[in-house]
Amino acid sequence: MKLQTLDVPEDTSQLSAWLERHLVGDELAGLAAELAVVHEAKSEPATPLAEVLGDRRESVLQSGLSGLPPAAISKLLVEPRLLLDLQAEILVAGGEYWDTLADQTPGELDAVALHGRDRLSGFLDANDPSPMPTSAPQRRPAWYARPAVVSLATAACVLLGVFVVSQFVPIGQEGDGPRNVAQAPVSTGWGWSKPDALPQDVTAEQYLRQLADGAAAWFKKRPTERAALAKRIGEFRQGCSVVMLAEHRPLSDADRVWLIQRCRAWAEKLDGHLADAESPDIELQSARDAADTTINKLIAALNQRADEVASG
Amino acid sequence: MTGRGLALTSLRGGATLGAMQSGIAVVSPSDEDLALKIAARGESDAAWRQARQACTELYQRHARRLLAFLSARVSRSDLEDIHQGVWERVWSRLPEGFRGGNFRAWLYQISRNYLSDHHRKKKTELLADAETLPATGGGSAEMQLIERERMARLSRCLEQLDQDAALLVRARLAGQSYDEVCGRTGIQPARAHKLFHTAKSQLQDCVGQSEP
Repeated sequence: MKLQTLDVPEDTSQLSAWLERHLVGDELAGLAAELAVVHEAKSEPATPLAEVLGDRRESVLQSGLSGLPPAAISKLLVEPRLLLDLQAEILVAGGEYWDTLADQTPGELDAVALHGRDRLSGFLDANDPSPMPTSAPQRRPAWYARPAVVSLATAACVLLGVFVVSQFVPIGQEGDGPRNVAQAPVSTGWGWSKPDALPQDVTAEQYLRQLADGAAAWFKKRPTERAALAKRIGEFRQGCSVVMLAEHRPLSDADRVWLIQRCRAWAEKLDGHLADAESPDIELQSARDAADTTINKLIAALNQRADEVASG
Repeated sequence: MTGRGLALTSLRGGATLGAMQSGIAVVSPSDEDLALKIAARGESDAAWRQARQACTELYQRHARRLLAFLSARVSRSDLEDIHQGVWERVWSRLPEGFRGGNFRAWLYQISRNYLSDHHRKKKTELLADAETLPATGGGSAEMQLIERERMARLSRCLEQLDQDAALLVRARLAGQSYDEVCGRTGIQPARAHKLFHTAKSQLQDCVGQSEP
């Protein structure tokens, strides 16, 4: 692994800019740890940050470190815990300057932020208060304990919802009053239960890839409680039913048969994972890992089929 | 209301920038306005939709900096889950917990509390409350041990440098210029440059040598 400190600029006038990039970047902890080793720094700085910044605190928060005297920059380097304290100050009170700098400093965290946005979106979907079957109170765990029956019923409901909405609700004209029954399952589904999960006006390859992408929504939430995991698996299993009952107009007969057969097999696997999630004898992590494996395999199978379709 | 009303923001997003360039001031809701929308999400379906948009907007404004903050305090493998957990806590606690004022300060407090909970739960050492600087890199105990070993190795590698080289490394990493170091030690500038570059290579090689 590359040592962060060795990038220190030759020209000391560039030190403040170098530190600023670290303050908004991915590797501040690494830099601070290395500086602590080099300077044999104690965990608690001898001088508090407020004293180091002095009357330049506001200037630092609004315009960066360029106004700090060399002695203050040196303090930040020799007592690197101060860098972490400064980073916290910037989070709370830093101005546009720091936002812009963060935007201009690419790093691994950009991808994390993007992925996090999708995860947050999934979380907000799951918290949509509109009435729907999957929001039944958890005191009634039996609703997902019979997947073969409930999944089919829910799938039919979702498909009906898609149909009703597409037929009677113009896009962009949702009412502000209480949500109607037809909209409820549509607005809260995820993965294969989303209303746009099965587009009928795309190519076969696009269709299969969209199914793969829909399945990947599984990973947007990582339940850490047994009931939540069982609910999540149950919801995915319902999505399987949606797929099994759908028309799949973009697909050829052979691909349609393949998809439905595969979906039946995946559904059986998911039923097993659901049973595992409900069993106190099986570790939660183990049940989740097994479900992950199945879903990763089905995503791979869908993408492979899409590749085959694309190559003719 | 927070009393701050709407705040002028600039240079955020192409549309805003374009408007600024054409001389039109673009007004965006302040963080506190967005927070109040989230707090009012229970009032109607329309309020819920606005709350959702407000949450997404706050995420876009603050996620990157929050991630930088968290990444300096937790292991990389825990980062995504903790970041997600903070935003879920923001959503769930905001209606009762946010009393107006500085949203960022509140977000930071939520993050600190979340880290403390995480610390208690995992019984691992977090920087915010810890005795030492953080072990970076992996999240597992094994990875943290590897990172600590790497820092111990850096310390040993520094000891292996000759005296002038070690002095130069410490001085340069304390923000001192070559002129200052040379004036203080009597080392010739040309030699100082060469010594420092050689020392950097030696350190990187030395630390990298026994890495898994």
